[in-house]
Amino acid sequence: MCIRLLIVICTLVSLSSAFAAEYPDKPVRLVVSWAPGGAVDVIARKVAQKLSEQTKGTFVVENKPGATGTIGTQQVIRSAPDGYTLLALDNTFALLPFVFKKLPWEQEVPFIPIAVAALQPVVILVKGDSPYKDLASLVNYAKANPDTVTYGTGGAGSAPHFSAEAFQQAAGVKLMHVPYKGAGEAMTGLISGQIDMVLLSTPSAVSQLKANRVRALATSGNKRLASFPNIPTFAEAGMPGFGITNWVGIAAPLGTPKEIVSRLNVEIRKALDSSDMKDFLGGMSAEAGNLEADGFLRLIKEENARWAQVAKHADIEKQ
Amino acid sequence: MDVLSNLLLGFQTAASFINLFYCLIGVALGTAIGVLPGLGPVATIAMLLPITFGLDPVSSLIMLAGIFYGAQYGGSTTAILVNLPGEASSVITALDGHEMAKRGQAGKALATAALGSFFAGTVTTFLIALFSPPLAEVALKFGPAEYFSLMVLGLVASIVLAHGSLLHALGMIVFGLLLGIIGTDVNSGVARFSFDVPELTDGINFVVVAMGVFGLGEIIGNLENEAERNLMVKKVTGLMLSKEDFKAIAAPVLRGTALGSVLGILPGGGAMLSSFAAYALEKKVSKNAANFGKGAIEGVAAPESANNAGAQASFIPMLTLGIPSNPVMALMIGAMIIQGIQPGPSVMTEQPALFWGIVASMWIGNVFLVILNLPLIGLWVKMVSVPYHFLFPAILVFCAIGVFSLANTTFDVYFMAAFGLLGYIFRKLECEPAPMMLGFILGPMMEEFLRRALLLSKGDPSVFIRRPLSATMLVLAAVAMVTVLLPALRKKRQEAFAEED
Repeated sequence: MCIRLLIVICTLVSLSSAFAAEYPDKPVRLVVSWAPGGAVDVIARKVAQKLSEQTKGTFVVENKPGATGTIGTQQVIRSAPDGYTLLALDNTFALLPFVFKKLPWEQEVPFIPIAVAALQPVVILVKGDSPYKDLASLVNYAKANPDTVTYGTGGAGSAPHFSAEAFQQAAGVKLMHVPYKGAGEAMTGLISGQIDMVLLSTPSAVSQLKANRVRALATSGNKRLASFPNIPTFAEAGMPGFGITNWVGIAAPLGTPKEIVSRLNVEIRKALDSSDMKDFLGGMSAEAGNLEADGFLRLIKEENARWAQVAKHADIEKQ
Repeated sequence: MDVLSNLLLGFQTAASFINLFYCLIGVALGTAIGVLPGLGPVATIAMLLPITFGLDPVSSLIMLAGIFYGAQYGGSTTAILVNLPGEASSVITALDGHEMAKRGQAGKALATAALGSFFAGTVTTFLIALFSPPLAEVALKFGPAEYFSLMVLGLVASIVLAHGSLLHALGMIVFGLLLGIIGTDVNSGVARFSFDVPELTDGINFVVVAMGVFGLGEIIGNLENEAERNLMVKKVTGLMLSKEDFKAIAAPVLRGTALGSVLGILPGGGAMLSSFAAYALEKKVSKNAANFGKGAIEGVAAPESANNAGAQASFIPMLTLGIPSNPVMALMIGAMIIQGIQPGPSVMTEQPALFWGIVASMWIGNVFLVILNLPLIGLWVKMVSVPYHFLFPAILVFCAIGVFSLANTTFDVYFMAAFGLLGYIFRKLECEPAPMMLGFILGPMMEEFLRRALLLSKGDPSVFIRRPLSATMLVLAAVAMVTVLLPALRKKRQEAFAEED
């Protein structure tokens, strides 16, 4: 009896490891629920390239943009859980419940998080020749003149909008929201002097920071950015309570075999450890997200809880 | 001379064997996807990005740029031959281009488009080389108030597009504006008229509407009287331009190029306006105005040069400021980041070979395009003489593939079919779709800029007349409005509209 059980277990184990070793034996679709060219897309493509090299398989990026990423997400979570359809998603996912009245899924996390590909600190930016030289001067001015300082976002209910709401609550100020179509347009608005500030993740900011067209007053995260050591952290600038970090991660439909999920987690983290990936992420002042799959799940749940708090005190109308 | 040595560096980079090769591949691919209806540069560049990973950054960007302006060339081909504009800019080319094709002058129309585009491409290349940084600074002076006034001017000009009934034209513009309302409101984030269909929350894609209303509508119309169509394409005359033709298109090409370069520099939809604006301007100033809409060669030359100039000028904000002026430029920025280059003001100083190499490759690419396209004209024209019952299923298949590639969804394909039916009804009712398309494109942008301008001025509408650029454009719009309305009031509308009898 015991021996038979052992044999069964052995067979199962060898089967599953063989399964994981053969994966992928056909092309894997990595669905990006945003338009091509953005930060999520660019990171997903780099990850797909590395995974293709490492596994000798083919990882293809497919863009399914629309409805704040819900169209692509919905499609992936309804796909066969065989590891051949994956989702690339970002921090926007965690705030969807506070943007939409109704979502096309019921669970809090309707997929298996696999790995975090990149962590992107959020920086607060003003124009290069702005009178605000540090965070304190901006906050003091905004406190004295509520609804005067304008901030741009990629639209109502976008991630920069939520970040700015969180900032206002943490700093105890009231700013004026100027929505744009996409974070890129908000950045154009900032450097052409239409608005006073934006809160964006580092990839959108790096090139303008280098050219001194914009000035960063503070960056999120526990330590300063390696590429811009002059920018203080929010804690150093006097706002220890503000700690939003954006992320880009990879997930699979619920029910995807454990072996595949852990194999992908290992492969992605191996990719993140490679020197060209480090250079690539370093170029946009982002960091590799060296997390276990469980850690990623915890991250999403923590984010969800945080945004629930922010949304409660903000006037963000649900769709 | 600094610019000369920079250009020399650029040509040295671009003229290396490998870069010439990728430039040729880029423009050839661009032409091909431009010719295939619906399949646009965004989908193509996205599909080709993985191939560029292994390439040198300069080579890959030269190729991707080639796809973009090559597609502008190719896009006019289907617009002229089968009335299928695959790009916003070729909607206007179809107006007179397809009329020319119907009269057997498809070859002439195609040659005009190719030569006009080449001229515009050459001028804009040197514009980028000489004045990129100061021009980009000017573009930044354009705030929401200026954009709004520019759109008002564009909308007023769109009335001129119509050559039938003024009432029909106005109705179509309003219908276009209404279509444009569908989608998420930028200011409040509320979805409007999406009826809980997630595909509608981002609005309707321009290409879906254009392919349906123009292309499918045309196909249904042609099938209704196939015999007539076959008769029409038999009489193909002169493929090349005569001396008189060259004379006729010289001024329109110059004006189109100038207008396209100016509007193309503006980040945020400026380039889209250029072909509309060039056509409207030409119809106002041309001696041949009465023939516009009936196959006037000027009506092809002006918008074609304008859209190519606009396409190339849209590289200026991208290369010098790192600001994308359209989805293709956003994708180019993504391609640069993947290559480890942070696009922005520093590219010019830190990577001069890359910057000037791309600029020089644009001119080389334009030469390739002319060499590639002129001999092809004969082939394209023959394609039209293929019996229609073989041709139209092929067109339909390509339309479906192209529209699917926009967002990888079948929803858009069904939606295109619905718009095809609408397009047929419009034909029956003698309502022209071009003014509707302009309303559809401009409406959402106008709303966005109007509301942003008022938000920033804290609700004070005088911002539109206090800013000189904005005020100038509003005055121009008012003048245009008066010139349109005056003859109408005097019952002499023929002066402004070539009335069809």
